[in-house]
Amino acid sequence: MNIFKQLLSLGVLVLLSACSDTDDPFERIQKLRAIGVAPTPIALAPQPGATFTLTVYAAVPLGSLVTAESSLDDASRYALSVPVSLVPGSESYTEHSTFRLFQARFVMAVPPLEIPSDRGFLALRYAILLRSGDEEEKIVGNTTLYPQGSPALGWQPPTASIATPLDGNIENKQKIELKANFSTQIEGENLRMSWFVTSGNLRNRRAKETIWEKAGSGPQSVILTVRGLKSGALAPPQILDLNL
Amino acid sequence: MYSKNPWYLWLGLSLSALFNLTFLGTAVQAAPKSVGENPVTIKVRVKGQGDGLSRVEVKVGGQKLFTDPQGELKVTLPKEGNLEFYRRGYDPLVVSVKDLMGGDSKEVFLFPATPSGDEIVVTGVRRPEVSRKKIAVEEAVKVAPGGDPAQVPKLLPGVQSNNFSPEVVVRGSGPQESRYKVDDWAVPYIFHSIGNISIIPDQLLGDVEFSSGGFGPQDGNATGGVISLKTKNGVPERNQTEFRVNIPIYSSIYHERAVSEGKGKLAVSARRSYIEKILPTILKKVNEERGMNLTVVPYFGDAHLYYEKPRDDGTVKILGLYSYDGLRLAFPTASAENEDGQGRFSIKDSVYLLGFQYTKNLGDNWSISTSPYVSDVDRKLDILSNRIYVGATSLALQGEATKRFSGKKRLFIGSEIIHYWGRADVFVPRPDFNDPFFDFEEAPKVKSKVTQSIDEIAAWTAYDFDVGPWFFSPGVRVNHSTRIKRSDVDPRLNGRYQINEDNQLKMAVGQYSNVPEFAEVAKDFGNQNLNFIKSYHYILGVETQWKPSWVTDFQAFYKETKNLVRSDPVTNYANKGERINFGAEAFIRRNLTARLFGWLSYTYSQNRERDNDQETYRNSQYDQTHILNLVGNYKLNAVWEAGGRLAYHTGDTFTPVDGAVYNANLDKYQQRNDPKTRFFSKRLPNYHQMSVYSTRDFLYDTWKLGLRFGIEFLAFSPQATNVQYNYDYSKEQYNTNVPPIPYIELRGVL
Repeated sequence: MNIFKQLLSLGVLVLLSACSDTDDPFERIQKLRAIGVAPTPIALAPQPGATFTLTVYAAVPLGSLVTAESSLDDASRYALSVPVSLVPGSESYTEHSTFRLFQARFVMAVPPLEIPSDRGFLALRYAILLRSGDEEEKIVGNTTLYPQGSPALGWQPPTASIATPLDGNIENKQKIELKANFSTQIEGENLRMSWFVTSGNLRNRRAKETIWEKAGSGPQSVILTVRGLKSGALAPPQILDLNL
Repeated sequence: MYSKNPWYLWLGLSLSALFNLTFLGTAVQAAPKSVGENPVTIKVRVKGQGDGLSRVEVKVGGQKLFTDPQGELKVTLPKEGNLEFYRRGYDPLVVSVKDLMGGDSKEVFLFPATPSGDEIVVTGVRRPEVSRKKIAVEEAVKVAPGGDPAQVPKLLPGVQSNNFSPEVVVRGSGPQESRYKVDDWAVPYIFHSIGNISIIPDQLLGDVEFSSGGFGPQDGNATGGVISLKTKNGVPERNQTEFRVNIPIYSSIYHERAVSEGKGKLAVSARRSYIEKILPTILKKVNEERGMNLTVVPYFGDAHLYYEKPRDDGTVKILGLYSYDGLRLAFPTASAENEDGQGRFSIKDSVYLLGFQYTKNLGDNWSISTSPYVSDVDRKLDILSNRIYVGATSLALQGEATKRFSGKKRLFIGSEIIHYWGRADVFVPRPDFNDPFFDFEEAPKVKSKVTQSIDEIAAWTAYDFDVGPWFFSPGVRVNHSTRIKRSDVDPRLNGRYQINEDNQLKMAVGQYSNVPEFAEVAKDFGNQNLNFIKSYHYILGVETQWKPSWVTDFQAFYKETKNLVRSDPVTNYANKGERINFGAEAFIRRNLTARLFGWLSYTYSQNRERDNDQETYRNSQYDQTHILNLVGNYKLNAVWEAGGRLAYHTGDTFTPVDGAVYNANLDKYQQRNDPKTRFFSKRLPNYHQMSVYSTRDFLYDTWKLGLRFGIEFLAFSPQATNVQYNYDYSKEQYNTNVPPIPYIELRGVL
């Protein structure tokens, strides 16, 4: 149980790490960045012909192009790796103030499988590779199979919206308050939210309410994603374009 | 005396002004009223204690008189002139007759003298075990990190330590592979997690014994080393109370007194941290400056009750100990599960111990020592939505009988029976230590609630004997554990060859066993068919006494450990890991004299490990190739001391991250490494640090105020303490944010 002593030391390391500066925070979009993957449906029963559709979201700087292709992830010990295939012509871009949102759809054909009785579900691993210029982003994730009759087969994705700011009328542009609204109907589902911004820093990109500091002037954008940790579902990304 | 060194005088006066104290010279109480020939009783006392001082030579006119055992002297004062006071170990004092007039009795205080050069106070005791080192608390309390004697093994050969972990690694064996004891009572750990202090206050300690390997059969369930904190024996001559204020970590109170009509000793102490009160204020400023929401609340405390009664034919000791450590941590994290985006940790670790020790001479050169104890360890850990609550109550019955024969011949026969009532309530991801980047958010969780009773039984014998210049101590230990339902036998041998009066050749060879941890044999997530972890120690060394004040000790060691517990995809755990540690150590020691002591310790070691016998050996987790510690303390005069430590070691190993993938379910990046990349294949930069300190005693008539101040973590350049990555692991950088940390500690001794 040396782990206890190690974790106590963790407190000191967290303190030290917190004191280190980084000019490359998680929340800032300055290069090819995966935003999320929305599976449809959220869960399936194993049956012949069953397929998941995976919608991939990524952000890239204006003018950049993205190529998407299927990949494999054999590193996971907790899910069965299953290949996916790109839906031809499904790639598209949505232009925003300082970036473009890339979307593409992939299909995962569910092979004949049995669900282990001890866990009650089976996780299938997908892997997708995005490229933009010299940059590369490998995206992995799980979809899940549940037995026939499971309530999971009726799960719906969470909903999410940006509550604050509502428009570009922001008084204090050095400290911009961000608030999210979200909901889910899945019992026992913990939602994980993620904020992305195109400049500056966020105090806490996982918080429902946070502060956006040192945002740049001119056109800027905020992205909110909300996903279910139990279901793996993703609410469509919410994007707010601002002129600061 | 003080005017000889202007720097000293300046500093002394500055501190005197700072604390509004007078410390120059000696005090004589009461002002004179008249001059004349008067009888008076003079009480000569020790400055800073108030104790009477016997056999003080007092020159009155042409007479030479001496104080009685209580430090008193009845004398008829002349009409004028001076009285002179002399005693070895104290500054001479001249007092005018005028200052002694005006009453029936007067008190005179003698100031402790500046020590004289090279008088040896304590030297290391040669012990049969070749790698055992004994450091007197007088030394350890001055130079050890935090002024805590229990930390002193970190400065000895064969020991690796890390700045932010209180644990020690002994000749490449992890902290859990060593044994920790207070006298003969086993404790799960001896260090508090913060504050650089052990769970036993230094005032209770007499010695710290440390064996880095090759120890005798009396110690089991350890394949690394043994750290033994020895309580201070003897009945105090005077009652004493000490208050200590350490800024910014903790405060303590300690009291010891003679009891049982002066034949016994009772000591009580309590310590409590207050850094948990100070840190939030500091963090509030950091949070505001950096726009963070960070909470770090470490805390600890302990309390002790100690009783000792020496008897004509033995000793009785009782120790009650309660110690706790904890940490509450909240910070923004990618793994946050709540709307506020904060991850929360809460850890609390506590241990109770009630130990009894009874030693008795039975006659016919037989003696026995029995030291039963009851202890309870409780550990509670909440991390995000996971929990680990584990604990164990144990009852140990142990004892050893010794028969002394002629010469150095001695026979030891001992046994111990420890019964554990273990308990666990866990809801955690199933660990996979084969995966260097195990992600607890993805792993399937295990829920288990178990109670378990187990016994660990051992018996041992050893026989010391000499043949001419040779000395041998063969022994054997038999172990049985119901935790793994197995028994084994560990033979061990220590030997010495007296080359000449000053040089000894020494060697040790032995087999050592360790029982796997509770979690590794747990019903739901362990493997109940595990075996003992086995280690084989081979040590060869030479010890030289150059002069009474200088000793050197050079050793070479080879250690092979098998049956290390490693994760297994089928059985959860298996005894399939192996490790090899070998190297050489040098220990050059200037023994404690009245003015100076110190040592230089150097260790060269190679530490290699593999997770199964199909692999080739790689760096182990603990592999500091070179470790150097230079330690020194100098007593400037009776009240000032100064010292410091210089530490250098090869950078710690770590497993590099070769890349990362974005996990869309969790919205975070997960590390990946190339299968060709070996665990612990990279190193942090080599590390060095210095610590300097000074102590000053302010002596009042009947009490003393001690001041210790210093700076930790001094370095010639910023030192890397750990490696950290940016969010997608595309940038690797070292954390070099530890600044020099000043501290100050006040000790009031009444």
